[in-house]
Amino acid sequence: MPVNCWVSSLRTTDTMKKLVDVNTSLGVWPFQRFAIDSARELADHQEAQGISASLVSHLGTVFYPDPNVYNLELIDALAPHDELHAVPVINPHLNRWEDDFERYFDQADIKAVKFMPSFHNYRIYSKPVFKLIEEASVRGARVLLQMRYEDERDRYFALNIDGPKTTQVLKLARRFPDTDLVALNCYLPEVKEMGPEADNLLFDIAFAEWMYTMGEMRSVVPVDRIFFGSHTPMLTTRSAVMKLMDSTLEDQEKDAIGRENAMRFFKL
Amino acid sequence: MRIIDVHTHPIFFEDNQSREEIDELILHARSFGYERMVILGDVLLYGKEPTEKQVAKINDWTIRLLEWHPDFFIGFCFLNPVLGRKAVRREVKRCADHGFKGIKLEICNNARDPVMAPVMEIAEELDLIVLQHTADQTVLKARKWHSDPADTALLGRRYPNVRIIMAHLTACSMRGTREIIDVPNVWHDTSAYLPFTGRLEYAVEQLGADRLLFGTDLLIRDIPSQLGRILGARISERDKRKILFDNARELLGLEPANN
Repeated sequence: MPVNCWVSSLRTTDTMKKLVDVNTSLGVWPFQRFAIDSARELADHQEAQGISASLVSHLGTVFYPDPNVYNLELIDALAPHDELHAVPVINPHLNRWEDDFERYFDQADIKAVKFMPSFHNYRIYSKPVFKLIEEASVRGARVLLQMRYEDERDRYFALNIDGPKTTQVLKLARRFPDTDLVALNCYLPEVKEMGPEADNLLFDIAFAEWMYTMGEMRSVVPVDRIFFGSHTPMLTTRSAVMKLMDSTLEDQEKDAIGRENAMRFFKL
Repeated sequence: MRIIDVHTHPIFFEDNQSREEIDELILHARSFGYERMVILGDVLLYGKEPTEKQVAKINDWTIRLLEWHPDFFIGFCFLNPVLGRKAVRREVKRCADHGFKGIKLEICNNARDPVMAPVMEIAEELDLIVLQHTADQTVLKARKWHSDPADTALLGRRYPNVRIIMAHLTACSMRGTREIIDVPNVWHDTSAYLPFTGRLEYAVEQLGADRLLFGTDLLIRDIPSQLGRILGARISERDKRKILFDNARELLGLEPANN
């Protein structure tokens, strides 16, 4: 009997614990217009999608020369929302970034920090990145690597910024075998290439896609190294929710990817 | 929720060819509310310029799938227009004899090339729909063989009596939507790329929902993710129903629903 997928997906989320989204943003992107443009709207939107907690970075950190400005704005904006967790973006090649870093931890309960070597124009395998990973580790914060924001085939014609090379990501992961790194917005071929090569690389589901996506991911990466990530508001949140909740995985696996892995890993 | 998917490749690079795999795919699709699925063939198997024999082999697989599941699959005939008038007409007629409802064009040539004339003529003659792969070429820069939305819109203007589906709404972006506003014989499918927000809403606002068709591009894409693109869009429930089912049913000339 044909099943109404939308209702089926809602039913599934109703009967399970709510999701944790490790990949969301606030702010403006010059090539897209968002319906969500405040922390309140993001919180309401995520709640409506069955998501009870989200890790959030500010898109202003991508192009503005000093990400600190937008990190502070983000921390202020999220302060009234317990379900939204600020993830400051660090450019470890900026002089005295450590001062900003200290300040974030003083001002908020920071669970993770993010870096984006492609957009900030530095090599991923470099001493400042090593230092960032070490400092985050001392603070007990997790490190997120933003591989990309857009499909490279679909970006603004003059914006030629490619994601980091997988060989470099693996090289970095191998330098810190006891530190887990979360690579956000990896394509499925990248997950398949890197997943089996480094146990300390973890992935979200936002950019991974092929027929039976979740089964494909699980075949190369253990379930405990996969997180639910939607890349909201750039991608349709419902797509990520359905990709996981209407997949062929067992409920226990959906629960791990959708919530439990993130709760444990980020100490939410 | 009732669904017709107008853009699929159930066999892709010879993957998923067994009867069991196809049956499983249909079972999976039906669990979401799928009623019909348009199959376009394993179109990239032999590269961008397949020979006449290779084209026929690709279509033979579509014929086989139609024989397996005539109540579910709808066939479109894959063509290489560069092969010329005789080859085009021979293959289209062969496929039409098997009940195909359309023609699928990939990246053998650009949609504005003169080699398109015999394709469009026989499409009009046999009342077949033409589905043209299309993507914004301002970044991809392969326009010699790859159609930009402006090329597919021009094709629509040149052949106003042929119904055309311009593939890949996200890949065509907003510029693609604008290109076909005044070309009423061109529909747009939602298949492919990641579900970036705003594109579908923009298309509904500019075109209206009547010329938008749900497509996934599977096996390259996943059904729930592509479906979420429609269900999660900030458009009315009525427009979602049109995009997911009603428009395709009307375009493909399927029997009106009575259940």
